[in-house]
Amino acid sequence: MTLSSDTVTGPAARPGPAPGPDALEDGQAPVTVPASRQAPASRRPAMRIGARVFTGVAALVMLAGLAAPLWHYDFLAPQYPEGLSLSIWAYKLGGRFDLVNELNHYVGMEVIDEAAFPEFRVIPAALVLLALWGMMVAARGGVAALEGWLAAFALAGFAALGDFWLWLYRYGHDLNPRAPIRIAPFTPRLLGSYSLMNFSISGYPGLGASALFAAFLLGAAALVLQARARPGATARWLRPHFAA
Amino acid sequence: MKGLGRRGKGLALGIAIAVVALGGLLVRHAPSLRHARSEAASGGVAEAAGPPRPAALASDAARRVYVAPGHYDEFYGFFSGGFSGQLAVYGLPSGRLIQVVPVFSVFPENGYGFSEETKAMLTTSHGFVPWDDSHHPELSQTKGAVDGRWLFINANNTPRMARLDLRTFTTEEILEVPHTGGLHPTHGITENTEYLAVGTRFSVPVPQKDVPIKDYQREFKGMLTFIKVAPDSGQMSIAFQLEVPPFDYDLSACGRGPSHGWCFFSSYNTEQAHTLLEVNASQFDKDMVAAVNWKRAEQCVAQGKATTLAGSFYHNYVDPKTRVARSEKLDTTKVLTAASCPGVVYYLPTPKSPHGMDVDPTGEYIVAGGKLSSTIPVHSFSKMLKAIAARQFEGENEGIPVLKYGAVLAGEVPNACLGPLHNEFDGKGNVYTSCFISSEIIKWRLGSWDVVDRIPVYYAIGHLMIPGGDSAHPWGKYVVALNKISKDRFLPVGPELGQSAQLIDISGPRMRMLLDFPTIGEPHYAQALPADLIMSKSVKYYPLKENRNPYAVASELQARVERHGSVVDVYMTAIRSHFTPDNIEGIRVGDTVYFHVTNLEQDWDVPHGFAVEGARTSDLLIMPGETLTLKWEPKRPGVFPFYCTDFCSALHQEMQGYVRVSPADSQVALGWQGGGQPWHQGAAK
Repeated sequence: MTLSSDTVTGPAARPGPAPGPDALEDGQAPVTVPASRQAPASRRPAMRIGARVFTGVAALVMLAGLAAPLWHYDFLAPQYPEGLSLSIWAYKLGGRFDLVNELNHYVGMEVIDEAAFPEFRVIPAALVLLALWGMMVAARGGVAALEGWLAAFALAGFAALGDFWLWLYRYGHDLNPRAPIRIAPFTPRLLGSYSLMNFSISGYPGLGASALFAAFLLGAAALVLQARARPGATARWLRPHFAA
Repeated sequence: MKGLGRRGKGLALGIAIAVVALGGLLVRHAPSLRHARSEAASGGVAEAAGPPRPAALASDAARRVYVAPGHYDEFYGFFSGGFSGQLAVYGLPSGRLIQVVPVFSVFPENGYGFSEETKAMLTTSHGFVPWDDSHHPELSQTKGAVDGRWLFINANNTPRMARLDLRTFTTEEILEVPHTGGLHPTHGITENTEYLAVGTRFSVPVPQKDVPIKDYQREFKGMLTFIKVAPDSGQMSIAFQLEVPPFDYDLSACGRGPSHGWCFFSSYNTEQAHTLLEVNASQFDKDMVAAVNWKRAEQCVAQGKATTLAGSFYHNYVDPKTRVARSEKLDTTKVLTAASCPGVVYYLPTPKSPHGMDVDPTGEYIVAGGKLSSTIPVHSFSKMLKAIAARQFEGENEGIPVLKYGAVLAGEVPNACLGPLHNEFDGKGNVYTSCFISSEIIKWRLGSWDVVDRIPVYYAIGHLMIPGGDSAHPWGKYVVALNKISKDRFLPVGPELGQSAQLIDISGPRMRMLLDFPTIGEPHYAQALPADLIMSKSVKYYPLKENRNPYAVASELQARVERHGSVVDVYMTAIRSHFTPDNIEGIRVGDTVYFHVTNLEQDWDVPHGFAVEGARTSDLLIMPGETLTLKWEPKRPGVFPFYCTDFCSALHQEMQGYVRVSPADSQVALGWQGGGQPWHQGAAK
């Protein structure tokens, strides 16, 4: 991290692994790399064993996202001192959605119906695909692949959260105008507490989402490990930070 | 006065005024002084024996019974409703009434005995009987300990036993007991709930027939009945009956530990009187405790020694699948006699008109309440077995060997109290006996027979109850006095006064009065168990998916109205905050309408009620996931409202509907609407 930028401008300036395709992305001429050093591995630079283990573990941890709820909502009201709990899984709804629907009808919120969510088919498939991809990365050990996988992972995560927020917006805004009790449209909070009528409601991630986040951190750690060991093989934007 | 000087006259006048004033004060405060005197006198025997009674500091007693808002009581108390026919559930130590469970009497507030699903529960060989007198609740036991599964209770008037399930606190079964008059001796239960030992209080002709009452001794019989309880379902059936001389059998208790296999019944009226019993049945110095060897009886029944006796009786039970009560009529019982099954029964002479009958936790002592005796006789089970083996009989009574009193007696509590009735045990070698006439509870030691403490109760105590105090494992923390008279204990409410229970702390060496609380009906006998034993098993609602009531509907979409001749079935749903259908037309005067209301809720404590104007039945209170049916026979045309009676939600007041009734010859088509759906035409089938 203390190296000045000029020490890394040329791959030939110091020994190390040959630049991979990412070097091409940097716009550098391939001709500056001696052909003799362009081993097949240099186009798909090998990951260190530690990074591969981290990646593999990350892919396995990801699968926990299928086995535990992704998100929780806890409802408290004077009449529900014991609370009402809802959970959102990758593939289903859990908890007393029947009761919440029953209560929601007073303010004209739409019935929350599991069948209305194509997400429950898409998300598990995406999770399995991402996990398989991660395992493949771990097995074959490509740094670029790791970067690509992480990027896809992050993108999927943001997309899922965005989709979640849109649903919340929809449930809070598409209110039946003939509902017995009229409330101002609102967006239920994704994270944290809010109040609706006599209920205090808290949203927070479950074990599943936590596992996914942990998996992403493990993947990122793999990348860091890799970058510290072989800065040349990592994306250019990472190099100044991790090159030893 | 003449000899007195002026000053003397003045002094005499002064003294006279003082005496009158003092007298006035005494009269004014007589009630409280009398009270103080009785408090002082109540120590009698015990003051010398025990440590001083702790000062009854009101604040201390208050702390002992105070259960803060939102907190739970330590014990469930199950108190019979006496002449209300029901069972009341109180929290102890607070004395708070938690629930009234209908058992033998109709209960219009929830429809018990009125709804089509429950009215079969009250069927008897006399037809539908809407009331009874419930006396002795008894909790089921396993290995002699209260297990919290079921509670049994008797109907004293039209002889029946009921079983309540303590997961739902509902009456699940009622079994009529034939050849019996006044089913009073009913708190005998064997240590693994194999049997309930019950018997006749009023001996009657067996089988029932039209005979002159003066032929009592020839025609009347006593009958002791053993009811088998199925180990898994709890279902009751009459295993066998034992015909005995026509005494009045009073209370029953069963052995445990060494005495497992035996049950004991106290009796009075060995004189066999049939008129003015208060005199004629109080002539003998000793009456009889019947000791029944039920294992011997089982052998005799297995060997075919029982005769079959005709006599119809009803068995009513809630079908576990549909939760609809059903009645079955049964026609015979198996009967044994002392002659057909020698060794099945012995008599233990016991002074005098004994009432209570209680077996101590070890199973060795059989304690009677010698109601008209000043001593409390205690029989020894081991001495009884030896006396039987040695044939120490003083004679026979209608073929039943009568054992020698001295051969079976373990001891007598001398100068106990007046009118000793019932005994409960604390598991620490102490017996607590209720004394009706002297209105007190005494505490005495098993073995030494010494009275170690006594405490006045207000007033005229009948039974008393220690949680688990009639089992092998009592929780000896409190004793509850179940009093017959409350008189001046609560604010007066006219001539009819409620009855009262009193909670007494028995955790220390001296009894301490903690609390008075009024009860429903008569708190005849009670049972209690620690809340932890059952509260987690309490059912919160019935799963809709498991509702097999033939008239249940699973969703609003199935709600409908069907005509079958002059019978109209309304398949109705209730969910916050509407009924479907809520408008019904095409009903005609002369129709019988059945509202089958399914509560679609699946949440804790969201019952819905259903009431319709002019119903000569009752309200319905429908638990979540349950279906109940109300019969309605409209007598005149009009549009009649129906509504939810249980305040269910913020829009409870909106939970209403109309049913239109047209003249008998009307052509108005059957139809309905509801749930925001358009008008439907009904189906005539």
